[in-house]
Amino acid sequence: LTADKELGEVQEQSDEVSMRRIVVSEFVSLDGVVEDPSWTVQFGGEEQQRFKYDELSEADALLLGRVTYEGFAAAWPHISEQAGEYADMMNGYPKYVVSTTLEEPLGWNNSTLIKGDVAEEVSRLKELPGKDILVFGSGTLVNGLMRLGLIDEYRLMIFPVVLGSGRRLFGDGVEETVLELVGTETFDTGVVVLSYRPADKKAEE
Amino acid sequence: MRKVIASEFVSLDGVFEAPDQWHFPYFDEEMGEEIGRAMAASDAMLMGRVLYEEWADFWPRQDPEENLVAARMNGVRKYVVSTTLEEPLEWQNSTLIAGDVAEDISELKRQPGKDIVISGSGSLVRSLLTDRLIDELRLMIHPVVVGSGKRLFEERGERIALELVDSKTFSTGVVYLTYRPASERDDSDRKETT
Repeated sequence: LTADKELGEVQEQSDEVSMRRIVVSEFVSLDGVVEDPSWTVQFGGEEQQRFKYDELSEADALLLGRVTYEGFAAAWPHISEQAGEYADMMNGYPKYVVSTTLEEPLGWNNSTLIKGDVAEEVSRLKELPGKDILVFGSGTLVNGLMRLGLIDEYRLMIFPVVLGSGRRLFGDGVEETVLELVGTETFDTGVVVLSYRPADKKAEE
Repeated sequence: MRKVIASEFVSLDGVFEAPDQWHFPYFDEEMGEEIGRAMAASDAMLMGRVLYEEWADFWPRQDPEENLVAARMNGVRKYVVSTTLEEPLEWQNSTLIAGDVAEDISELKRQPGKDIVISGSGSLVRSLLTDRLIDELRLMIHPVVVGSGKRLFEERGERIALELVDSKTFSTGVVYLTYRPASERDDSDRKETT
């Protein structure tokens, strides 16, 4: 418990850094699978809902790969009533979508296509004033951003199930990356949220 | 009844192979105490062939007076699951389990004694978890993505529902998570341990 508390304090201090952060937030099974998170539904609970709500409130934009964008664009505009404020944020926030195959105009409200140099475009977004930019799902994009060193925080919500198949967050052949644990949270449902930052970034700060 | 406990070092990307390449910077007193506690609560080890061969080649060569772990490793009772190894096994106190693994392990669990610990031995852990023969899965998740190496949970496995029993955070950033099989069957056991 003491360790958790100290880690929490570290996080608060670094939050004062003004540059906009890219925060990758994922639902992950115990075997690292992030694909089609319909299996997470059974573990849903109030703590998790609050966590997701706070997380989205602390951000003001989303950065998505094509597959996740298409899934979201098909679902969120139609569930605004049931999901209330959360859906309003999802539908209202600017969405930046990385794809070489999609074309503008994008159908989901407030979505912009990033077609050119991803490194350059994402770096530019980070320099604009604003809050966190969240990445949900988007496995291919995450691996690309990781290689480019553009991720400021990884938030892994680990569910107590081994799925046995499906696409993993960290594919084979990812470069060795040393991270620093900056926070842990445990929900009654057995879900654990682990937050990490790149170790070298931390040192620069 | 004796518990079978799988205890593993894993990287954040789920790799458990060759921990000598990434684990050592995170070993400290806090982790050592946890491992010591687990060792003291156990009196036997269960392992697959790969780990057996690696350890049988390593531990007997260590000087037990200098390396206290070596004395323990060599002295403790070891059960080795393999369809290709043959008796007699060279490493002292090693017994081969070559027949019906589920039955032999269930029998071991019924015998009096302390915990039986598994480390490494990925395919054994996966099959025992699927057969609900593992009572606890303890993962020490290291804050590093290693990018290559065998994962504890390979693709094409079965779906296994678990339940979180405990979580601890070490100051090195290692997170120690303890799971047990989701208790659909064993309500009595659940009450006893919570």
